[in-house]
Amino acid sequence: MIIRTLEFHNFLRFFETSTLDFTSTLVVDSALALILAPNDSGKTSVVRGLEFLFYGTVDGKSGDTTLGALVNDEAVRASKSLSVRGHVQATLISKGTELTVRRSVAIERAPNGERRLLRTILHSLEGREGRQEWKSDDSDVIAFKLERLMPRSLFHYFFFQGEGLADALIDKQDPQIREGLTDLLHESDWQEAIEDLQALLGKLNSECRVASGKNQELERAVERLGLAEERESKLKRDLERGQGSLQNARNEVDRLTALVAESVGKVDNEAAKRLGEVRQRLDQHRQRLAGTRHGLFASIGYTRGLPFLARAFEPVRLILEDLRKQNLLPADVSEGFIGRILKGGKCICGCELIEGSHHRQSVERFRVSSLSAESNTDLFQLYNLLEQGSARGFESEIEQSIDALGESSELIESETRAIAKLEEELRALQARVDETAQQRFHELLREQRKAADQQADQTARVQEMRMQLGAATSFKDKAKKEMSQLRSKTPQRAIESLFEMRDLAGELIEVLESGLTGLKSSLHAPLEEMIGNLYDPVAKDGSEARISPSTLLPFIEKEGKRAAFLGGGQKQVLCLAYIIALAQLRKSLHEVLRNVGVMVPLADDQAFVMDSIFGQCEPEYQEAICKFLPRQTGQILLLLAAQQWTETVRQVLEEEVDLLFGFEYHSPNTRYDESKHQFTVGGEVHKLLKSSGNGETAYTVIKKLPF
Amino acid sequence: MITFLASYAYRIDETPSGKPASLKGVNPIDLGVFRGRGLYAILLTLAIAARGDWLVAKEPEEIAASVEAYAASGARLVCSPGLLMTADVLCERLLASLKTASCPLPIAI
Repeated sequence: MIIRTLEFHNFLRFFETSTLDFTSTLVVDSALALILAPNDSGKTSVVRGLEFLFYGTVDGKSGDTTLGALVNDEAVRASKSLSVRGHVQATLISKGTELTVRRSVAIERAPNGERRLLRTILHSLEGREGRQEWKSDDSDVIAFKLERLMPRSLFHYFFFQGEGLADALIDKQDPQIREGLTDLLHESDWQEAIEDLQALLGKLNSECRVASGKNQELERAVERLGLAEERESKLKRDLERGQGSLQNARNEVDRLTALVAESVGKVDNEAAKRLGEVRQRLDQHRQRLAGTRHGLFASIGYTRGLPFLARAFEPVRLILEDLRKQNLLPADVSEGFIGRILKGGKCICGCELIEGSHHRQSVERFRVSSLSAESNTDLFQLYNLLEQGSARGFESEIEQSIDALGESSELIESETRAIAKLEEELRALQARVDETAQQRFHELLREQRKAADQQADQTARVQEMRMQLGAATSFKDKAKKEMSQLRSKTPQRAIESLFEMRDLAGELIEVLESGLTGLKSSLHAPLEEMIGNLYDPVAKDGSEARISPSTLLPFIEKEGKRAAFLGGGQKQVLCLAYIIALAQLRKSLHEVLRNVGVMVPLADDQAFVMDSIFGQCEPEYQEAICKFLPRQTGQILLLLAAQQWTETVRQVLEEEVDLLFGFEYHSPNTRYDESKHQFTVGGEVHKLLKSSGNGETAYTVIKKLPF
Repeated sequence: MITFLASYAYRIDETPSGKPASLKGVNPIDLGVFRGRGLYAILLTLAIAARGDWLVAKEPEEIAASVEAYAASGARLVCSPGLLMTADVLCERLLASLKTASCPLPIAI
């Protein structure tokens, strides 16, 4: 299928009517149309527009909000009417026949500015030249035709965003891709034929049982054989699925093994081990240091500040010594006792203590310098504590505290030194060990072990299935033999032909089943050869493209091993080589099938729409893609942003381009650096960024550029 | 904490200043609390050394006032701007003095 024209009217980025007209290149065998587009100007709108045209969906969605958003913002803003309409229209050529279709979307603006989807509708241009008119596809005939032209599962192979497809195809092995391959091989058609034949076989078995009704033994034998065949067929399908899963599991183990092998080179195991030990020891030392410091603070607290008072000990001790000399420590006579004598007015010697008498004054003076029992005890205790050389005195206590503090201090010093040394070692080790690589390596090891376990489980399951199938086949053969023997004893002509038909249907099922298996395996070799022809010559690391026999998906092999890392554009090259090989294979497969009488729709040269295929590509791979892409298929529309229109790409593609378009982007943003959005082609500079002037919405107008 | 701060202020010759407030406060600390914790001898040493007279031992309020004044000075010293005396700093100074002086105490802060 080739695209003659592609028209957008008020659709996504495209304001009013913009057309990509490829008519002038249709005489070229492998036409290359280059579309240069500033960032955000609507490259993706082209792929979305095609999806909407073919299936009425966008990114697989068809909700009112999704479809309502398709009408161009500037058209909605500029419209005086409440309802606004947009469309995508294309003229497609397939097997020499033209088909012009248009899918429209209409919305209504609510007063609050929200959009309400009114309808989407598919039209086709019908009638003879000069008397053509648009007809709506009420019976869905055109929708069916479009799906046949471009099966939905293959859409994203042929109309795609570069990196997105490469990721889905190579890294994630998206199940939808497997579905696409199923369509490619017409597996569903084969499967349908097998199921039809199985239904027929069931009916024939019933007929045979009815026909042999008088011979109950024969009837039972037919029933047994029917059941045995059903079971064998089911087990064959299960085994095939199981083998597919096993192959997938093996591929996954291979992939992870390759990743582990690659990752191990980035890991310094010895340093990593030592790093772990150093961290552990650092933790231990830090904990010990914190504990010791805590103990030190406690020890300081326990001193109660006593060491600060050491200077006071000697003078206080002297004062108390003097007191002791006065015989007051411990006091012979307490202050209270003298008080009581004074109160009684009579001395212990018997004389009267008359107020104002000399005698009384002497006793009163004595009372002043006397002590209460409590004070006496306090001072006496203090005297003992201050006594020099006393084992229980203050000085001894201070000595013990200082010793304890000194020990803690030494421990703190040694711990601090040890920590400093370990921190130095840690820094050196961290510089040696790439911890991200280390983590990745261990993750991969875990994944690899898990995948290996799954592979072992699946192997066991497949072995069990094989045994079951062997037993079922043997049972079926036995049932068949028994039935033949019974039939030979019942030579009735009518029954005989019925049984022959039954046998024939059974054999046909086997032929179809083995045919499908054979077809799959026969595709493997040509697909691998095709992709190898495209990829191998440009792979600068000497790697080679391979196709998995079970999944028919591509992978890379280097020095006989599955390679894991695909960087710098290798992945894009592999991906593009694969889809081009697929398109070519599809075309030749259809021709072969039709030649042998299998009626499948005839696929002709395929149009590719490729958006931003040079992302993250090194110049060598950009050059390789530019060189192999143009001559491989009927039509390629290549959408590129300014940053992908590199000198390398320009030098190669300028020679190959048949048609040049530019997306003139009208942006309300006036702060763009215009130099980053201009393109030089054939020595001419194309400035594709314009100010929209309205300050509100951005839109794009398609221009055919002189070339 | 009070004995520690008071001893600290005494050690560095910090003259007590300001009037003691705790004795007139709502809930003064009973000297019995210090006695019960074996701290009374330290308070007494400080009070006698400060006054140079043992007679202070007969005046508990005088002892409390003296200790409080020293403790307040010690607290001010510890909390003075630019010299926030964390436990860490105090330890380090104590330990430094252990290493450098025959007297196992900080001479000055």
